Amino acid sequence: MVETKSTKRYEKIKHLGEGQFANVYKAKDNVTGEVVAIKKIKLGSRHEAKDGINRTALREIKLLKEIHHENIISLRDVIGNKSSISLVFDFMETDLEHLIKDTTIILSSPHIKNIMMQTFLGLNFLHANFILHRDLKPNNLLMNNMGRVKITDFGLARFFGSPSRVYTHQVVTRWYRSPELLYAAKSYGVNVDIWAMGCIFAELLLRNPIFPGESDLDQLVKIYRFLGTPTEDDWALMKQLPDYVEFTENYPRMDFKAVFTAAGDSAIDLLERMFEFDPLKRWNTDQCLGSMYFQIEPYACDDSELPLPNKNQNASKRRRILRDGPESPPRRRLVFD
Amino acid sequence: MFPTSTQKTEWTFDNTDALTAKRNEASENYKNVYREVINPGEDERFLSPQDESTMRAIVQEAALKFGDDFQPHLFPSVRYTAFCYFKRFFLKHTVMEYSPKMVMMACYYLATKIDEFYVPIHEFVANLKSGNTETNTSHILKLEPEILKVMDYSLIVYTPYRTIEGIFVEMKQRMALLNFDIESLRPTLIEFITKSLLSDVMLIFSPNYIALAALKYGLDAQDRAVELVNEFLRRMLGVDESQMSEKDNTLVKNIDAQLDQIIAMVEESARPVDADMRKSCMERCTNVSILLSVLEERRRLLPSNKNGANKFDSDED
Repeated sequence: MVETKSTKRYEKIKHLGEGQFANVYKAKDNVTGEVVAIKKIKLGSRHEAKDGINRTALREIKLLKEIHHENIISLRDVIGNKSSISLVFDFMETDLEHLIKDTTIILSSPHIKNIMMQTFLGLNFLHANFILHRDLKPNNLLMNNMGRVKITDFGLARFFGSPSRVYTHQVVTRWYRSPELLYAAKSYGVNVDIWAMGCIFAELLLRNPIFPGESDLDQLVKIYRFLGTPTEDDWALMKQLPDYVEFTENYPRMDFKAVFTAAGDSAIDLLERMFEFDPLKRWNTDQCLGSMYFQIEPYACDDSELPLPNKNQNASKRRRILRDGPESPPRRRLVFD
Repeated sequence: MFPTSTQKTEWTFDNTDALTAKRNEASENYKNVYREVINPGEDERFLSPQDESTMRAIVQEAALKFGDDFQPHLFPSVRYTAFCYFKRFFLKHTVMEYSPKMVMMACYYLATKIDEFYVPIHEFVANLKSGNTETNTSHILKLEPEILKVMDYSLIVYTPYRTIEGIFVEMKQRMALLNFDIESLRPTLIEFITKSLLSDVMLIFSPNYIALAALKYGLDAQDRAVELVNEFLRRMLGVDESQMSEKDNTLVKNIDAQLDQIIAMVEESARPVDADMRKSCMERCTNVSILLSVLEERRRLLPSNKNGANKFDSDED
């Protein structure tokens, strides 16, 4: 029996955090020399494990074993033994939540465009493969020290397109939840991920969550105060949703240009398409990637130019080296004929 | 996504010979563990490949019914997934090593989780007719990580059910001039997929081929022209019969031949295990478990006494 897949292959560097059903470690892969992140899922007789291996972890394994894309976290290895199952991932320096909250960092338009593009490319791949992420938020968009953005946390992700199945609306962290989910829609599609992307886009621009609702109802209030209360013209089928509530207050729509002062017209146009109330009118990833926003200047920066929290002042020097180097990464710009 | 899936790349095999080779290898590996302690002649008491196959067939027959009777009523794809896991597991291990019945139950439980069919463990084991709740629960939960590991964590299972829906949609659109109601075929097609669970076709053919074989089988069962399948394939390829290229022609013929092969394999495996075979197989199983306990005892007394049989005991921290 050749036991190549032993935990001995990986050497713990430090404990990064503990979740409800897993511990996360930074570790070194002794075979490749690379730094990796290991998510060790608890098994055994604890209360939370009484139904066996956590469903969330199984969903993650099931999907990540199948999908390979440069903007999606890759599951490098799975190691199982009697008391635990460990998932080995790429090690990522930070996540967008940290980046957004770090007030010492300036996020320029090219930075934001790069981040949006990378995330859309990852999401486009998921949707093309009939996978809904269902929990997009800044915290689940990781970034490594090369400026590569990767979508992570597939614990709520699932395949869509089975007509007979009903889906739970209790998905997506509240602030990023779309109106149809807040109205308890039982069948929905890629549009819920797009709404969340809109919230992330707005958050990158504002450096604050755009709709920080304190309850499900307050979430709708926060949304409507910004986008205006939807009419049946905006969203024909809303009244048919299970938890639809009529808003007597007719909030007016805010002027996007006044709120997003630093954003250009194309950014605002894209944002408005992502914040369509009617899921059927909301843009999909192809439309978003094809929008004017990605076609006009300022273009997205190179990945390597993205700022990192507490990144040393040598960043500009490093960038120059990268630029001058023979393998300077291509400029991330979509070209359309 | 099937073409790049682990189901295709890791768990689809060329032919039945490849499956037989894998099963024999698993069996030999297991018997080798006892090589040091076995006495001449005793190895004949091990299960033969035929016995093992019968044993798996007995368990699969019972498991088909288990799926039918399960409360709450299962999605058909849950059962399909469970059978797929079971077949994968016993390509790498033998029924002498793991109780196939318990493995099947654990596969079902894992399949409910993977296919988003939520049943808590206590409700799941309430469906088991033998054993008690605690031991059944602990057996299943103990096997769960082992099954995952044996499958190398490849969990996705594409089933023919969705393809069948696709076939109906396409046929209604592309073959509007049919003189019968295509929907009337549905029960026979589903029944064919159910029967296919007893065979190895899911380890050899893609779910799309199995669904097409179901269509051919269904047409035949209703005494309709099976050539409709070829007609359907031509429409899907967008070619006219009169001006088909040599390449398309070969392709359609090739697919058709594979469909025949699937149907033959399914019909072959659908025959119930006959009573005599069942009886003799059960006897040999009892016999082998007696032998194994003797062999285990001899191994325990070996001076070297290494824990070779227990592969999952390499735990750390």
